[in-house]
Formats: sequence, C-alpha cells, structure tokens
Amino acid sequence: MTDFELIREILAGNVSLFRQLLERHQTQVFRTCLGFVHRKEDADDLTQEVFIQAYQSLHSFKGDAEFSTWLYRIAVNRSLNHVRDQQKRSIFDRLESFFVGEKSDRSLPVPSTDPNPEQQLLLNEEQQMITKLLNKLPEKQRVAFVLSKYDDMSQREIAAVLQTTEGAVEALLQRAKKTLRKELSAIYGKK
Amino acid sequence: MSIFVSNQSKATNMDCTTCQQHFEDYFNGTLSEAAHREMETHLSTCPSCAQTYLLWQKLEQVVFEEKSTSSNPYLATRIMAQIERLSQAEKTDPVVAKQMIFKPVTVALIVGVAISLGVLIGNSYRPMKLYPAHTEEMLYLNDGAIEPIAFYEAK
Repeated sequence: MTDFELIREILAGNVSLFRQLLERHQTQVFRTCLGFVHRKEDADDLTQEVFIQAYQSLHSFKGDAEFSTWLYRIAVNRSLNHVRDQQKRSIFDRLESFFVGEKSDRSLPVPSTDPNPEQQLLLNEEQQMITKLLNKLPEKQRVAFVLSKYDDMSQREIAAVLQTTEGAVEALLQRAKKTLRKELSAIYGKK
Repeated sequence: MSIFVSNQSKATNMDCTTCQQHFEDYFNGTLSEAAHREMETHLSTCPSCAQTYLLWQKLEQVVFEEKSTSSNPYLATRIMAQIERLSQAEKTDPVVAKQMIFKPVTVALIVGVAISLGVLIGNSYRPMKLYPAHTEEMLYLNDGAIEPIAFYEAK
C-alpha cells in the first residue's frame, strides 16, 4: 500500500495501519532529530513526539506533497523548538549557577569501561567540540546541513521540505560548510 | 586570529581558499584525478590546511557515527501504544475530545469579553465638574480665608 492509501485507511478508522507508516519513516525521522539534538535519548523522545503530532494532524494532510516531505517538516519544526527550549534552559542554568553555585554537569560523558579511558575521553571531547560547532550554525543553514548530511536528501527534496527553491538550498549549504570551515580554522589557530 | 592565509602551494596553483572549498569532495573521493593530486600536494605543504582538514575529517566521522546510531528498538511499540490510548480516548468519550477544543476557545472568549467590558467602562467614565453653589456669592469671596468645602457642591 502506498502512503496515501495507508492514510486513507487510517482516517477511516483502521488505526493499527499507522504502524506501517511508522516503520517506513521512523529511521529517517530519528536521524533528522539526532542531527539536531546529538543525543540518542532526546532523539527517541522527539521521534515519538513527531509521530504523535503526525497522527493527530493526519486529517490536515492534503496530499499536495509527499507524506515524507510533510513528516520531515514536522520533524524539523519539533527539533528546532526543542533546540530553542534547550538554549533558554541553558541560559537559565547559567544564571542559576552564577547565583546559587555550580551544579553537576548532566552533559558529561558516561564513564567508559574502555581499556584506554584517556583516549575515550579525548574522543568525547572532540565529539563535543564538533557538535558545538554544528549547534552554532544559523537555523536555516543548520536545517539544510542536517537534511543533506544526515538524511542524504537531494537539494530538490530539501527545497520541498523548506518550501523554497533549489538555488536557495544550494546557497544555504555552501554557507553552512563555509561557516564550519571557518570555525574549524579558528580552532586550529587557537591550538 | 584567522589563519586564512593565502598561501599558494609551491608545486601547484592551488591556494588555501580553493583547497578548503573542496574538503568535502576530497573526503568523499569525488574530485577528478588532477584535482585530487593538487589537493594532496597542497595539504602536504600547507600545515594550516592540513590541520583544518584533519578537523573536517573528525566532523565527517561524528556525522557518520550519529547516522549509524539506531533508535530504541521498542520505540515503535511505545508510539503505537500512545496512539492506541489516544484513539480509545476519542472513541469512548467524544465529548472529551470536543471539550479539548472548546475549553480554550471558551476561556479566550471570556477573557476577550472581560477586556472589552473594561475598555467600555473606562471610556464611559466622566469626571465630576464642580460648580459654585451661588454665583452671586462669588463676589463676597475672601481670598485670604479658606472656603468651606460645602460652598462647592456638584450640580
């Protein structure tokens, strides 16, 4: 059954068929969310929220675009909202730690049982540095970068999700990569 | 400090800006043979581009590892369980579902009516004008003396 046929059946009352839609698109939605939040647990929660919202809004899906395009839009919007909430919380946490005192950092990596913990720690630090750089990208550039690198979407598909032109998507991707290269060069300059 | 120094490789004509623009293609192996050789030569002679490329490789590695991460194997079951609950809630009590829409609308209407009433009441307020009780008595006013408050009464 195609996505449209499944949706028709689900709206007719056959809710269990939603599982088929879910299994078809779960991996892509999860990857998109992970590209924004970089934590598996947060990505799982976000994926759940995306599909719940998709189910509740299924009656508003007009069919003028692919279901996957519509789903990606929900995933991107949810992820961006999550990221903005995290930023607000981190500002609040910084203020709180200024007045109250330092709390334990929840973002510290889990202690590794790897025989070479020093190397593991270095790898975690590098990973954190890279994810910080990705988080610093402006929103539109970040969305284009995530959809391109994490979901391997073509510029045409990204343009459909962002409801813009392919030229605009290309420009966003070029700027995103330029921003990243500039930040990486700056890191080298500081070392 | 920016280290975007325009340093042309001695062996080739490639500069740092061009080299860095092709990091992704070089990493993915999609450059032509000649371009690939130029990149290799430049990276072997330019320490700043070499280090930046190393960091770019790390970025690609992080993205690759995240892409390879799988979601929770029970995620689909969790989502379907929640959807079944939502679906059951709508079936057993459709009034509840309607209330979920009407409640916020009703609250919004009440707030709107209260604000409109407040504005109307505020606009209808007219401060009292005080007039002297008898205009003839004004001739006998002694500015040096304090007039009794009863001298002034509202019309």
